[in-house]
Amino acid sequence: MRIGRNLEEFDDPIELREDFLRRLAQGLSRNMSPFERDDIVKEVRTHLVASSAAFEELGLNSIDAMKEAIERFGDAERIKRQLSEQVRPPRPEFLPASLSIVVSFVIGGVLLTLADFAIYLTGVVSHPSEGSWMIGGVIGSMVGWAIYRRPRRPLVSAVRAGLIVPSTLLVAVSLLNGRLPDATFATVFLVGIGICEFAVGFLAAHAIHVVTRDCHRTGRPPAALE
Amino acid sequence: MEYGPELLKGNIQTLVLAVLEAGALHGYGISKEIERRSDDALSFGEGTVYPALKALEREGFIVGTWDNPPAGPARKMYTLTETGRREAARRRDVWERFTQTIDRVLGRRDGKVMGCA
Repeated sequence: MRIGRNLEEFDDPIELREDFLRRLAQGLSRNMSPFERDDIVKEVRTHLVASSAAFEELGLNSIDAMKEAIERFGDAERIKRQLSEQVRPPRPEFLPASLSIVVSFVIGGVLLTLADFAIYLTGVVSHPSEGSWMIGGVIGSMVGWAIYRRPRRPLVSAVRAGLIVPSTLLVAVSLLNGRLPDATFATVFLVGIGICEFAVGFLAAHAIHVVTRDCHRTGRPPAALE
Repeated sequence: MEYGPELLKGNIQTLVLAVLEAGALHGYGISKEIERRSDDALSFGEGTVYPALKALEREGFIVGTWDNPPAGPARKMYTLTETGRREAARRRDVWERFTQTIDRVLGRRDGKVMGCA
C-alpha cells in the first residue's frame, strides 16, 4: 500500500515528493518529538532526491524518476509503522504495574492494620494506631512495585544489603538503648522497616539500572552526566 | 535469484552494520551498497533501512550526523560506534554458526549435498 494520492495524478516531481513526505510525517507516531519527525522527513527527502537523480541519469524524465524513487522506497505504510513502533511507550506494562501497586497497597494496608490490632489485643499498647492502614498501604505498594520490577542483578543485592544491614543495626542499637519498649515492638518495627528498606533497595537499584543501562552498551557515561 | 522479505526479516540490521564497517554512509548509500554487494539479489524497499537505522541508533551501535557538503543537499551520515563494531562481529559470528547449523540439518557440507554425486 502506498501513501498519498495516486502517483499518476502528479506532474510535478517536487509536489509529488512533498506530498509523499507530508503524509509520511502525518503517519509518524505522536510520541516522536517534532525534532525526530523533522529529522526523518529531511532524511527521506534527501534519499528521494538522490534516488530520483540516479533514475534521471538512466534516462527517465524528472517526474518519472521521482515516481520510480518513491516506488523503490517501498511500502511507506509499513515503514512509518516500524518507525513509530520504536518510540511507542511500554503501555502493556502500565496496567500490570498499576495493578501490582494497587493490590499491594490494599494487602499491605489490611495486613498492617491487622498486625496493629493484634498488638493492641496483647495489651502492649493502650489503643490501636491511627493511620496504620495508610502506612501499611504505602509499604505494600512499594513492595508491589519492587516485586513487579524483579531486577535480577548483583547490583540489586548489593544495594539491598547496603540499606537493610545498617537499618537492622539501627533498630538493634535502639532496642539496647531502651528507646524501643520491648522485643515484640522491636520485632514488628524491624520487620516493617525491613520491608520498607527491601522496597527502597529495589527502587534504588532499578533507578541505577535505568540510568546506567545504556552505558554498558555504548561505553558512554549516562546521558544526564554528559 | 531474489530472496523474499521473509528471509530478510530480522537481518536488515546485521546487513546495515556490515556495510557500515567499511566506513560512514548515508541511508540511500547503505541501501545501494547492500544491493551492490548482493548483486541485486537482496530485494527490499530502500526505505526499509530507515527503521533499522533508527533502531541501531537508539541502541547506540551507530551515530548519525548531518553532513553539509559544499555541493548538493545535506545528508545524514551514519558511523559505527565501538560498541556497534563489536555488535557487527557478534552478529556475524551468530550468523555463521546459524548457517552451519542449517547446513547440517539440510545435510550439506561445503555447499554440497552429502551423499550425492
